[in-house]
Amino acid sequence: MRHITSKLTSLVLCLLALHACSDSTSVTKPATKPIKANVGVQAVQAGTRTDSLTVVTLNMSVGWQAEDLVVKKLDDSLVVYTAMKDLYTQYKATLPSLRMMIQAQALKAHPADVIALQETQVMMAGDTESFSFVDTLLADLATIGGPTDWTIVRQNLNPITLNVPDSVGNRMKLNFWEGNVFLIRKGLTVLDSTSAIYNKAVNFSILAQPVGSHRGYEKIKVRTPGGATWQVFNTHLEVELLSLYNLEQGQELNSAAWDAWQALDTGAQVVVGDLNSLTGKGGVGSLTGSSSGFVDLWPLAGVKDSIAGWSCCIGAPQGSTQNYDRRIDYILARNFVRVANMERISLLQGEEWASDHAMLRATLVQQF
Amino acid sequence: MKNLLKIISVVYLLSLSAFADGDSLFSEKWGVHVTWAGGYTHYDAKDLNDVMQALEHQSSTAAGLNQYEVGSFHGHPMLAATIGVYREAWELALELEFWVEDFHQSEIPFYMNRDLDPRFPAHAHISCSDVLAPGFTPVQGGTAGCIQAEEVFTIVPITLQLSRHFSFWRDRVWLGVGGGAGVLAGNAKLKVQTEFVGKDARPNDTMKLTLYPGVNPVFKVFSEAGVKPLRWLGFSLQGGYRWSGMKYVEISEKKGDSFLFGLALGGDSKLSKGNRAYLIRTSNGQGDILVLRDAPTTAEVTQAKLAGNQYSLVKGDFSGWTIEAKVNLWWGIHSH
Repeated sequence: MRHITSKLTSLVLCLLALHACSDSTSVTKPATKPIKANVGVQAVQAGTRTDSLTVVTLNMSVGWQAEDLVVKKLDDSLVVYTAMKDLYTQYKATLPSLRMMIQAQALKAHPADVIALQETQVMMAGDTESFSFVDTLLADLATIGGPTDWTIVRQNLNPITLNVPDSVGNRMKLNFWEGNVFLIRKGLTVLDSTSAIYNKAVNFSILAQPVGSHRGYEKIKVRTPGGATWQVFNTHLEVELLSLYNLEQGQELNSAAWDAWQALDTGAQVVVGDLNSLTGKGGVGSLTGSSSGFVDLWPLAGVKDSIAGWSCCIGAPQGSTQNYDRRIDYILARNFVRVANMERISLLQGEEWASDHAMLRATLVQQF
Repeated sequence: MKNLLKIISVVYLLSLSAFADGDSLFSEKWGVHVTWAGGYTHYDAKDLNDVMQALEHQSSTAAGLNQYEVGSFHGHPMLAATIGVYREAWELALELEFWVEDFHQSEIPFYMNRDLDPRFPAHAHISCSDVLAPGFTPVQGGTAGCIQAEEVFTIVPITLQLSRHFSFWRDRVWLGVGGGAGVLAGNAKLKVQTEFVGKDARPNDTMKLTLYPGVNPVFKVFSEAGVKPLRWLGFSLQGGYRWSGMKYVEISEKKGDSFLFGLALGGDSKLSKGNRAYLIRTSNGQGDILVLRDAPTTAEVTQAKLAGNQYSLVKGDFSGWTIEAKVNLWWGIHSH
């Protein structure tokens, strides 16, 4: 847990109205699509049209210590019962209803064309209790007068279904899954949407039931009202602890993006999400390396890799003296001409962190 | 000690008197030559050093772990023995070198909820003795523990050598040159023990791996200078250069499992016989990553290349110089 002064906390609450780079170099997509040629930005050429897309990325979870599960005796039903009950208790303690409302307020205050969400948990306990991050968020947006008309693209991952007895016969029924979700503002035309699971996955078992940490990405192709085409990928890579998996998932995503890029006649390509890797490392290194060609928008917007640009990780859901201590969330892009705006939105309200990640928002401009 | 020196002196004087008739020390036309040597061998072993760096890098990125500090290795003390037959100034001998190198890493703690534990602020050192101390309880029902790792490399180059010597001063001093060819044999044995601490933690586990490098060619050249105070006994210094390497490192035997080791270094939580060591070499300066796995698929190779990375089989480059101090014993069979 990091103890940072409240002054710094209030500082990170400020929006970082960063812009620009209108006088930089080119990112047009060459006919032969050599990868290295896609880096940079350029001034808009006379006689061409421009269009913009505002994209947000947000990991919705907080304080979820599921990693610890894998080092428990998961072949013992009583241990599983206790572990799941503890996790569920922790989950409830994170006040998910309050957190979803804070996130909805942030999204209302910072509207976007495309919202990319990660760790979109759904928890169903017993026969009656059910809570969905995304469904609650949408309801909250409606309640506070925010945008409500969305095209939703869901990728559900890692389902766990357990019905486990304790030592005296009480049973814990739990259905859980999480995943990635796109919310696409009505007004954009969704031309295509697909999703895929990475081949590289951490596998284990609970009571002989195969489960794992299966990560994936979803991809959409949209047309903005001005007529420009955009491909957007949303992903959540494996944790830094497992650097091998993180790197190889990044390689898979980079390859998928490259294939999609080859098939894209015109338009820009954007990768957003919780990449669980530090600048230039692991999965993000696979996407932004000299061979790959995605541009990391933070440094392009002039933000140094310091507290002002960090996006993660709050250790516990309560405590205003905590602060972000690393940058593992990204907005990457290629074939755009300008970043009209780039900001980090901290999700602290009073003592409550709505997520252990900050929300990132960028407005990209492309010419076509 | 004094008595030993006296005995050696008497034997030496007797032997000098035995040659007073003018016989040379290499007067036998045929004979058997046996040597025993101790020395040092130097090499680069780039891949194996990169493996150690990768282990350091991979563990340092892991939450809750301290930096896994490793040193590089560029050589070993060595032992060597030869047995050969000579005819006048030529000799054909079989040499067996024997190197052993031990690595122990006994301070690899892990603590899944470390970030939530005020006893261990960020960047504070945490040790195995901390998490294994009686009474230590991980916060929030978490799990901690300690990994003990030990690796023993045994490398045995065997060469058939042909040499020629030139003797001076009634054969009491000689110089020799030679070369040889053979095979590099050996293995590496890795033992990983993990102790888990915490409520309902997994049972402790132990895994033993034998890593086999295959059979690889060795070539060697050397020169030697020696003295021969007795017809049957001499001492020499030998310097040389050896070209050798390993084409791969493969799991040839596996006993038990290590859940965390397999998870961190395997393609899955299970390692299996036939898996080979690969380094994913990255182009962005983030450091290489070690993995034990089956051969990467064509798709994986392509994906890595597209990202500027490369799957590289771990090889061993043991080419380098050697220096040895030798004890020589001769047994003449047929005199002139």
